[in-house]
Amino acid sequence: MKVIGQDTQRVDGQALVRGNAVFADDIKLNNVLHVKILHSPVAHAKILKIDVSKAQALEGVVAVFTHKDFKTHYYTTAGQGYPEPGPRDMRILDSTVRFVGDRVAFVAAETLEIAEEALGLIEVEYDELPIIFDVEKAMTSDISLHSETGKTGIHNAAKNVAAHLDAELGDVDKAIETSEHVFEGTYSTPFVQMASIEPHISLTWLDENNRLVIRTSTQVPFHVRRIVAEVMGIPVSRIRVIKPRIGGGFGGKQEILNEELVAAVTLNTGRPARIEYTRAEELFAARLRHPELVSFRLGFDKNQVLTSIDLNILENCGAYGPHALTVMSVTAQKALSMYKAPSIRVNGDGVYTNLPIGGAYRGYGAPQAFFPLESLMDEAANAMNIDPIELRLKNIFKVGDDIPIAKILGEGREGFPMVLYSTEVAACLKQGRELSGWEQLRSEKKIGRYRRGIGVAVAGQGSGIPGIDMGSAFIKMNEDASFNLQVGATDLGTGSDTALAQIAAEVLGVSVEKIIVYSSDTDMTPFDTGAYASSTIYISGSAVKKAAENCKTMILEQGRLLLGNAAAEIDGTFVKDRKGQSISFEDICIKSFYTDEQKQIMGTASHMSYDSPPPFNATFAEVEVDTLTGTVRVIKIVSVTDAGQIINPKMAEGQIEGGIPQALGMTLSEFMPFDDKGRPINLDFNSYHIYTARDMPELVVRFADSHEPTGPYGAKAVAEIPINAPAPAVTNAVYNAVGVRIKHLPIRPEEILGAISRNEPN
Amino acid sequence: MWSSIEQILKPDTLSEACVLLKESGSALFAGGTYLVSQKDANVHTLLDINHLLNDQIEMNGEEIHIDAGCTLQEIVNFGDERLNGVILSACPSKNIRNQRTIGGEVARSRLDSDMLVFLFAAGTKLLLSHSEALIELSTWDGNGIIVKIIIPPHEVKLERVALLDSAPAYVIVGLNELNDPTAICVGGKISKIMFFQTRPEPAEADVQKFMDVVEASFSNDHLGTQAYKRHLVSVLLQEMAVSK
Repeated sequence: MKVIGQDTQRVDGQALVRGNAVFADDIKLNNVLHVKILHSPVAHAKILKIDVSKAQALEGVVAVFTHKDFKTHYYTTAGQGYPEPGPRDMRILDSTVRFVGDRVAFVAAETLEIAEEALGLIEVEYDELPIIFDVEKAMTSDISLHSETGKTGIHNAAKNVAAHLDAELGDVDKAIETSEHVFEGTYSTPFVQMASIEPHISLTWLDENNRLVIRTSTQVPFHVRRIVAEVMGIPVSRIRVIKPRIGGGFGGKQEILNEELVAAVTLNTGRPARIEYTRAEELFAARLRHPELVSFRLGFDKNQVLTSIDLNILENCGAYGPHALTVMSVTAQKALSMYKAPSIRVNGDGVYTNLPIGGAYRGYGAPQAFFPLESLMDEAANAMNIDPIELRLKNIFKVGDDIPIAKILGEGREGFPMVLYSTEVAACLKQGRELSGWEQLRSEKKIGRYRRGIGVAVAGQGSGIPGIDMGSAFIKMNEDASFNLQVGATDLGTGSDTALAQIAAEVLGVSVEKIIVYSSDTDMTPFDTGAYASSTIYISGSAVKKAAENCKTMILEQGRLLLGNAAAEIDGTFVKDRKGQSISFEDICIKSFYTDEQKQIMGTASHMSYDSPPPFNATFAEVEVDTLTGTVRVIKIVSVTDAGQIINPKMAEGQIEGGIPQALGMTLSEFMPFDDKGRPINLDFNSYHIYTARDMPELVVRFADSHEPTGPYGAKAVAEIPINAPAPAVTNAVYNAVGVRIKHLPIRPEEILGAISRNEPN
Repeated sequence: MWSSIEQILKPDTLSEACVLLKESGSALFAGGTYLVSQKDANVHTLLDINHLLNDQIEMNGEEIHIDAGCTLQEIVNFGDERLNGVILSACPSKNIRNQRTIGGEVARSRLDSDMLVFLFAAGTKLLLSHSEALIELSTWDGNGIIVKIIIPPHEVKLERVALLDSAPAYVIVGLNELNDPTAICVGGKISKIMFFQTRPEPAEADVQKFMDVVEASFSNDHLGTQAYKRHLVSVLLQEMAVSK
């Protein structure tokens, strides 16, 4: 292969580093209105009275919207499959608020400052209701957060259960009972925020045909179009959604978070509108990773082979349920797709509370699965006196294995049979073992104030959602043998446009510079479900490959026609026959445009897959624990990934290096506390600490040699997998260093110190 | 600039600025003020004093004299090893060091400022616009405009506990053992900067009393209990004492 596997320059690189106007907010609209949201200061209340007269009277205020301005219509903000697998439990504005940060009203004004001032003039009388923060209490409480009629898809509104899942294969109780060794534990993972550099930004205007144009920082432009059309009560045909360059999404922009608000302003006033979330709004009013309380029971036979996995999930959805079912499904699905056990069972509930809303965040439930699973595997290995790597190698799924949970648990419905066609997780473990100094660090004597430890964890993810995710591509040829590649796939800063260009270039036998990528615009590019679930390379990439192949076939057919020889073949960028005749790609296109056999050379294709081959990862963490303070410092991370054929090594490495700090933040530094009224405490980066370059440990990133037969050129996904394993690798390393088992994230140094004191009273 | 600002005044003298500052809704505007993200809706008048502040730094005998308008980067360029250590740790971005002034650093009185704890422990003195007499930083009530900062000879050691190197510390301890009495200063996520002076052999009761006050000045939060933070202060102090 000439282009696949090469570090080509990013197709958007020049524009980005030159600071060109590429992002949503980089255009200036005339006569634009600035939109600000009034967020609820209370966690649960009925709005008894809302008086906007003073705000409306403020000079420069053009419109103020409250729940009274909208008909009752329930929808979900989750930009995922349709019909949606989650509950429809949200209104654009409601007469009840359910968390601190819920929408109460929004204002459109001539300037941002006036809009902000107007918010302070809106008078709201709240009838405060009892609040629930604890998921277990929520399920037995008399208070129901979503008792209104008209809401659909809620599993049990009376018990605050937004979503439920259960499944069993084999007889878990019997298997546990007869197991030689049984290990169990309950673990929790916290709220964390995606912290994209670019916040949520949307602009709207009416075009010359009175159509609504939405330019927005989104991962899901086609879902934006569908949902805004529904909420505004206008046809899809009246909306165009443009996704420019995106400054990071990580799942947070798989949400229709504010597009409907600016749409309402523009449709009501006829004027352009703009909204931008502040960092504080991102932290309390956007979306967060769902906290989960996860319990595992693992049964092993006398040979340390798993007999059973019993999994129980309690997911905190926050005040509404976008992604409630599917995040929990992914927790279950990924946890039960790593190790082979004859008996498996899962029971899960996604529960409403008066806290911020859970949403999609890189890993999408998988980090919540692998922290407990890999912690318990480590505990089991220690208890059974077997090397943790060996225990994993003994129990992982192997090539050719059927993964039975995949058929039972799909995206909100039954899934599809899944056979593992490629896995190099064993190779990842072996390579990581060598690169991390596993044996030496593990057996090092743990003495002194600062103690080093090493831990390992493995993880899997998916490559798109089987039977649901669909991508499509359109390629057309130009006179200079360049090609316009139009994809609905959404590059959110990952570099996927470049990778898709590489796939097209490889098929067409041209350089990447000959591929002009445009993504994505609902008027201009074909449909794509969007950039989530690690789907872009596997799903959209396959569509690009097919479209390029179709285009290449047309080039050949045209070349044969022009040469008058049906036996001619493509050779590089020429069509040649055995008589010595040849015609270049350029000439084929020029003649096809202007003189001979006139037509547009182009190819189009779609791709959907019932497979979702898992990428795998083994992460090794080296830590140093200060036994006098309990603080943990991560010294080194070795991350070895099986992502199939790597399309662009440098960009793939970037994905891994970007996922690790997010995982370390969840593990060590990203605290999101609330006061007793449900008010968030940490509302800026001065108090909500994400890992920066300065904080990073040494990173060693490698990829295993791998080929996935169902993927484009053998590729699988790489986007989400790196975030899943660092947390358990770090906590397992802490155990190795000081003998303290961490079960709740983020790690609290005081807990470590307390545990050390209990273990070593002197 | 935030929405509540109605005017920016440029006083001719610091005395005039002091008078204007007493009016409600006024705030000083100098150095890196515009970098401050927190908007204060009660502030409607900014007093631009950039032109009134000097920006020299020099040795005066064994003291370092720094004009309030001196940026952190200018101080780094001056090359004092101890000052550089704390500045580079507290503010790793050169772009921001080029804006933040030493006067602003002190005037903002951020309790989790490594720099401020360092200056406290060093026994720093301030020259204010309305007085010719120097006052101790540890006794400054926040009134007046800082003109000059004078750092006496010192041997300040600073230790901190933070979730990340890049994050503000929640416990900062400064120890200056050059002078008699020894100065100990505690900052971080605390209700006020704690300052303690002791002879080389302080009475146990005095130490306990100080530590009790320190403990009470912290809060119980997600970063740990008050008792844990007291423990951290003890550990850091012991660490600094041992390293001496």
